[in-house]
Formats: sequence, C-alpha cells, structure tokens
Amino acid sequence: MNSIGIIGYGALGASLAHVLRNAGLLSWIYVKNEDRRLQAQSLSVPILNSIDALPVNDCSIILAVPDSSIYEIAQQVHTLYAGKGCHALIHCSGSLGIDVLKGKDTSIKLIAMHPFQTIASYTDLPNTPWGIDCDASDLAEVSRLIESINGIPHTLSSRVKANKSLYHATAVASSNLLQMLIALTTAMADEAGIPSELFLPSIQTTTLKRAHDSLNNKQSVLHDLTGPLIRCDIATIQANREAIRHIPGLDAVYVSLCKAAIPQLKAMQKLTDFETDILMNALNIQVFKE
Amino acid sequence: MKLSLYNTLTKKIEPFEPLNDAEVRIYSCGPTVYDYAHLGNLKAFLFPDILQRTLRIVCGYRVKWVMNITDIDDKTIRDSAIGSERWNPAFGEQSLDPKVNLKVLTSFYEQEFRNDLAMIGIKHSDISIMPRATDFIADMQDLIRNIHDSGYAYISEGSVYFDVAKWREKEHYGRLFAIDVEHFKSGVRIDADEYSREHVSDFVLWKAVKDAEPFWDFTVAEQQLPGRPGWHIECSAMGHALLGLPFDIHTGGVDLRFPHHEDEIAQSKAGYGQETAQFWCHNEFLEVEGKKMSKSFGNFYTLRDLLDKGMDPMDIRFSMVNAQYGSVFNFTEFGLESASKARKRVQEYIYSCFEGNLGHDNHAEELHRLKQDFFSALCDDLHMPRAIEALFTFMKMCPAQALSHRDRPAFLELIHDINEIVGVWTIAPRPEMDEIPKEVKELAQQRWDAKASKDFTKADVLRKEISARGYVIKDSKDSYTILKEE
Repeated sequence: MNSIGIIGYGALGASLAHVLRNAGLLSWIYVKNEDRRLQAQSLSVPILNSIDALPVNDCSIILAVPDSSIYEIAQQVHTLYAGKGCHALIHCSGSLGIDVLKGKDTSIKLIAMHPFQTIASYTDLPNTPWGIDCDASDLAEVSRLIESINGIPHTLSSRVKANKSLYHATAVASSNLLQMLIALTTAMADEAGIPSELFLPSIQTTTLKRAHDSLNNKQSVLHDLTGPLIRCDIATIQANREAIRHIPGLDAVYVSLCKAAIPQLKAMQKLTDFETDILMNALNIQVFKE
Repeated sequence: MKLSLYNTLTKKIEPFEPLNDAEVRIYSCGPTVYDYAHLGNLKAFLFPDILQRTLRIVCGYRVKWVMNITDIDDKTIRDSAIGSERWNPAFGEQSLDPKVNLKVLTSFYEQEFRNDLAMIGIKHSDISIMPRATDFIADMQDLIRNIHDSGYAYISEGSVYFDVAKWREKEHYGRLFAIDVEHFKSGVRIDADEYSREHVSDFVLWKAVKDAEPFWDFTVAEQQLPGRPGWHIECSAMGHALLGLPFDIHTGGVDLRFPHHEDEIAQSKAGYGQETAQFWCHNEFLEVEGKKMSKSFGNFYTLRDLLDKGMDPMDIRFSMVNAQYGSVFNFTEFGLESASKARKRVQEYIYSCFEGNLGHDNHAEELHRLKQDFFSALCDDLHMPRAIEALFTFMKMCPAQALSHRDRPAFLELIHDINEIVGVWTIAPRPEMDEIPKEVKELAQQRWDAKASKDFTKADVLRKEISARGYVIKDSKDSYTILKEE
C-alpha cells in the first residue's frame, strides 16, 4: 500500500493521518467539517470536501467514520471506483466484520483493522496492537501497513470473528466502563471529603499494575482480590451500599460487579459454597430505606 | 431492648414507647377480600408480623394486633353484583339479595386469605382480632353522625361527605403525604374509594344506595340515608372500637398513606376528637423482576401461582422478610433462589447442631455477640438485613462442628428465639428420610405416564398397587410426590 487516502477526520482519522503522513503513505484526506478542515491543513496533503471529488487512482482508502456510516460510504466508493483501480477498502471498527464493505467492485480488497485501544491522539498509536480481519492472502500486506505506523498486528481468529459483538463489548468494558468507574470513585471521594487526586492515584495505579501482571501471568486478576467480598464480610458490604446510596445507580453497579465476580471466585475456590450462598442472598436484597 | 421505628407522621426514626404499659396496640389495614391476595399484599402483612414478633420477643411487650377485613367497598360490590363476570361458579347460584352475594364472595376470599397467611408463616394466634367491616356498620354510622355534628360533614344527594376545606381551616391535612392542595377545589366531591393526590376533594363517608347494591338504613340529621360506608371510615371505626384511640402503631403499604390513612386521621380527629395512632409505619412497594407488578406486564403473582411453580412458601417468606421493609422489594426468581439457598444453609447448620461430634472451642463470646447484634439490628427500625448478616457471620466464624457441648444448646436456644421472629426454620433434629422402594418409584412413574396419556383406568389400577405397598401419591400441576401412607 503505497498510497492511502482517509475518509473522516475524527480522533482516529486525525491520528492515522498524522502517522501515515510521517510514514510517507498519506495521499489525501476527506474532511467534511469545515473547522476540522482548517486543522488538517498542517498535514500538507490535499484536503477534499466531497466524496465525488476523491482522486480515482490506485490507492487504498481508510474509512475512519462512525460505524453507522461505513456501509453507506463504502457503497459510494464502490460506485465511484468501479473498475478504476481502488486497491483496498479499510474500516477501523472493532464491532464490524468485512462484509459491511462489500459492494459491486469485487476486485477491491476488503480489510477491517482496528486498534485495541481508544485513540484520542496520534501519541496513543505507537505500540498499540491492532486486530485484523481480512482475506488470508492480504494478511502480510495489512501487517506491513500496521508495522509502518509502529503498531502490532494481530490476526483475529475465526472464534473472535464469530463473537465480534462480545469481543467489542469486552473492549468497551475494559476501557470506557473502567473510565466511568474511575469517574464514579472520584465523585465518591469528593463527596467523602478526601482529595481524589491524593487518595485515588496510588490505589488505581497499584490495582492496574496487579491487573497487568496477572494478565502476563495468565492468572485471573481476581486471584489477588482483597476487600469485603473475598472476606465474605457482609456487614462491610452492607455498610458500603448504605454509604453510596445517594449516588444515583452506584448501588446497582456495586451489586452487579460483586455478583459477576462471585461465580469466578467460587470457581477459583476463593469462596466456599456457604460463602457464595450467603453473599448472593445479601446482594439480592435492598439494605436501606428508600 | 427498646425499639426505634420510622414514623411517617414525623418523618424520622423515633424511640418507641407504648402509650399504655399493659400492651402495645397495633392496627394493620387488612385485605379487601374480592380476589386472592397477591405478593404485594402479603409483603404488607409480613411487615407488621415481624414488627409484632419483635415487640413481643425482643422488647417483651404484650401485643394486641388487629387486622381488618374489608368486605364492603367498590370492588367487592362490583364483583358480587348480579351478572358479574367475576362471580365464580363454585360460589353457586347468585341470590336476588345483594347482601347475600356479597357475603358469599367475601367469605370465600377471606378464607383463602387466611389460608395464605398460614402458608406464609403468619400465625392466626398472633392476630388478636380480624374484624369484618360489615360487622361494624353501627360504629361507622355513629362516627359519621359525630363528624356531622361537629360540622365537618355535609349531606348531598343522599351521601355524606367530609368537608376538607373546613377541616383545613383548623387542621393540617397532608400529615403523612405531600398533598397537591394547589388544585384543591372547595366543595368538589369524590365518590371513589381510591383517588390520586391531584384529586384532593371532599371524600365520601357514606354512599347513597344505588340500584341492586347492598345497603344499610342510616339516619343522620333526621334524614333517612340508606346506603353503605365509604372505605376510609371503616378503619377509623374499627380501630376505635377494638383498640381505643389513640393506639400505638398503624401499619400499611406506602400506597395507603393517601388518601386512606390521611382521611382516617381527619375522620377520627373530627369524630372522636382523638389522634388515631402515635406511630404510622409504612412498608414500600414490591416489584417483580424490576417492574411494577401488573397483570398487563404478565408479572402478577398470587401466592398460589408461586406454589404451583413449585416454590416453597418459607423461601418466599424469607426472601421478603430478610430485606429492609422500607425499601422497594424486587421479587425475582434469582433472588428467591438465593434466599432459598441462604435459608437452607441455616437449616443445615441447625440440623448439624443435633448430630456429629462435639467441638472443644469456646464460642460463648461469639454467641453473646450474635444475640446482641441480631436483636439490636431488629430494634433499629427492624433492620433485618443487618440482623441476618449477624447470623451468617456467626455461622461462618463458628462452624456447627466446632461448637462445644455448652455452645450447642446455647445456640439452639438463641436460634429458637431468632426463629420466633424470622419464622422459617425448624429447630429439631433432621427428619428421618424413609427410602422409597425402587418398585414404588417405578409404579408411580408408570401411573404419571398413564395419567398424562389420559388412561385413567390404568392410572387408577396403579394407584391401588402403590397403596397396597403403603404409599400414596400426591399430584400437583406439573409433578407428583410419593408419601408414606399414614
């Protein structure tokens, strides 16, 4: 892939444009939004403002657009480039397969590649693993493209492709939900009157380090779980739930996370059958007045 | 120990002291007997059950507990009316006398309600009186006359209404519930028993007779007003007649705060010159699988619906009482399963205390703490989740096998007292299980199959064969149980 155009200039599109331009691969970029078009001028590549204006030549096109627009834009590209030498059509969605890219020009290579990371800036891209879904004959070429922007290519197995929704939900839980949880703990610390910037970083850093260590050791992160759940300390769990009742929805989050962890802790023999039963009962009841 | 309770009247938790040293007097708004009681109804009766047990067992009071039966209201009249679609053929032919029809319908559902109470572990012997509204018509009429004489009631088109505007000139109307008085229109009357807070109006004390409805003669202000009582007046009159005013505690579901309880307070004060009760205690709603229980959602359950699904009434009781009464209770099958497992853990612990080798550790201190924690949690506004937590914490720290010859009887004595309140365990050795012979099991299965294929002759022959071996079969909707013939 010697020549690449990008459709879309959101967080991911802008970041890819930056690193592909530095790698000497970026030919043009399509930017719909006027303000963003101004931002893109620093790339020093042609900036297009209409799909119909895309240069018809032997290039690969990355669709860095919302999932809901991918199909429609792919069809426009197929119409525009039919028989005129578009090399590959690439989308960066973690939740969609390559079928969404299919169109009337069957000579175009169809590729799905997405970062295992939420990308806010081009500085997030180096050393990021990318999941790849494409025809086996295109794997080497796609891998080279990812390596050219210092990414780590990873071919998605057929099992992952069959469970793409779950796979994507896993990424969301691991990034977005974790962020939300941290935001909640910040609100809790503030309400409790302890400076969150003082109180939370060391707890969260240690927890994340343990989580990463456990992933490398192929051991559940729950193996080192501490706190009231693993101690089957129902009194403290009840006290925690009472304390967080004023923060909307937080009790439900607390209960749901505990309930989800209990079967895993039981399977790891960290909780006995007795402890499992009494914890589940305690988590299934309301402990405070409305 | 002294009990503290959340009082809806004052909106805070207050220490409870009985008005009369001799006994605590409790009035619970009971069921309207026009249908089988649903789960929400039962939750509303389990709350005062735990309350009265705590007052007796933990606080040491004598308790007089009255739970009324509403056997005359809009719904009972509607369903017993001649030609009503809800008239159960099992009741027999309808009479031409509407009072007879009303009695037949309400007697049937009253008996079913009593059966449900027993099934869910509410002892009839604990309820001092279950008065029927129709047995207190004369008391209601006296009260209405009093209210009229004191100037807070007026007659219109054969009915008697409470004059809310006049009452509000002198008294606070909306003591239990924030009422939307902005939209109150003086002189507007409402005949329905139940209405929303946006429709605050002059409520009905006595309803003029309508065609083919049951009625009682009534004279007030020298006018003949044949008719029947409004719903709210019933509890005022029965509470006064059976407990005296003010009594100690009035209970009910939160949905009764307005209009029923608010109107009750106004009526009793206007007619008897007395406050109704010093504590008003309300239990929260019940939801099923996270939604309001409703026939339209397909999540409406009576107790018998759950028993038909094979659920154990003691599990249902435990699941409801081990949650905070003042919280919305979300009844889920998963939650019930969890409660069932937890309840059986305690039962297993109790059985283990009657068997096996004794331990040598001394757990007197833990036992003392359990007693203290359990009962003090109950005395803190009936905080059953914390009380049950204390029991589980003890069981976790002190396995039954570790209890010594001194600790085991002490634990059994304590769990006996705890069970006097929770009421879901058997404090006795594990029952001996008779192994059912294999050939009896096979015959029972053959009979079930024959019955399923409607070969009733064969099923009957097999039943006799099973009986000859000393066993009987008890069928339920989806399965059967083999029992030893007595």
